[in-house]
Amino acid sequence: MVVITAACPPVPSDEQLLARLARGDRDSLEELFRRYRALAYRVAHRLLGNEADALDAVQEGFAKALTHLPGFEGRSTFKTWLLRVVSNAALDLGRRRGRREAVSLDAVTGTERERIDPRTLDDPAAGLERADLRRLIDQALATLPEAQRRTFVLHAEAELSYRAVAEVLGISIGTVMSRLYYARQKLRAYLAQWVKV
Amino acid sequence: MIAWRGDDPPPTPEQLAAYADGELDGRPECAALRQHIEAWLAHHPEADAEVEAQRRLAQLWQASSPPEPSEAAWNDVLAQLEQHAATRPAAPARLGLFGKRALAAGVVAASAAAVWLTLAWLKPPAGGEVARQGPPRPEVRPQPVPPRPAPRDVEPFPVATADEVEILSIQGADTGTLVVGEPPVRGPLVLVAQGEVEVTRAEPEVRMGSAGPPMIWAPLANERDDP
Repeated sequence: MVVITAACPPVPSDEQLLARLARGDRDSLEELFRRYRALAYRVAHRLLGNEADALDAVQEGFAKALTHLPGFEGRSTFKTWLLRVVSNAALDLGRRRGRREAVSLDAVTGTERERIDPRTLDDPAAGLERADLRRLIDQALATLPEAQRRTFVLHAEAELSYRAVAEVLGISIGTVMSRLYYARQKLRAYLAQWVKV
Repeated sequence: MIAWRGDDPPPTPEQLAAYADGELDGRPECAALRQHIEAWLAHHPEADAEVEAQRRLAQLWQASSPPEPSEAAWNDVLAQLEQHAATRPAAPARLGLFGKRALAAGVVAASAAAVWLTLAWLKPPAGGEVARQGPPRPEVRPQPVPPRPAPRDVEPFPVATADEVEILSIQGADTGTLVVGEPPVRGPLVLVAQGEVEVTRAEPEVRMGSAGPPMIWAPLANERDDP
């Protein structure tokens, strides 16, 4: 039996890609984009509530990151820096378009009023309910002050530690803890009208 | 596990949430706090409901994750970014420490040269008395050169909106100086009304400070029956 082994090229680090990008290597841009697009998109979507605006925010965020790349000194990771820029872009976009005001609490459908048990959410057949649940959570998020919403999204969606969230937002860990606590209280109070939480 | 004593202070809700988030795991500096919370939980099983509620919220959150856009949508964004990268002007290179010093030295040298030229122009020519025809010229003093702001490594955030400011605590002496409003102020400043502020926690020193009136004086829900 012949065993063919192919040497797997090492995955370049963010720092290596950034250095290549600074030298004009466009492939590095694509690699960085592929590496972080989904994360940036999910954060932007949670902050804005729809795909089109979230994609615009991702594009704007990456574009701003490119523009300001020469000023990135590597004191934080590229990931946390990018999330800061993208979440700034998302919130700016939300303010400009007034998207949050467009969310109507009347949009809650009868389906959503049925109690959704999180224990059944792993059921693949519950696709429609998941969409409804997403809209419910989006509406609950819209009730939070912007600072709490951003803090919670960075922690819950980007799965950043308290320390990393503090670093992204330039606040203390104590402030992160406080914002997360009050954000959860408000989210639970809102969601409890429709789901078991 | 550390034994729980009845007079030990309970963990704060924020600490309990951090415990449920796993933020205290694997951190030696938090080991004592983690043990403290575990010991407290062992004696307060009713608090498990709070931890469980946090986990259920996390479960709901994960179940509502937004679907990813199509590959075509991603390609459109990438194409725009590549166009942006191709057309954006070359960013100025950052100055290192040596560069910053050289720049500062250059500014100082240029300023000194300007001052020297000005003084030389004002100085009477050597080798003879020149009768002054007019009033004496005012003395010219070199002006200090304002320092250049350091380049920033993050994008400047334009303006903080009301939602972005969170008052975490306020000292008694400061309660009389707090102004709440929406800039720019183009008319009479409207102060915040009672119904527009939610007091979530008030420390005694804020409510009872002797340096001035409290920021808001309205009975809290649990004080309305007080005489």
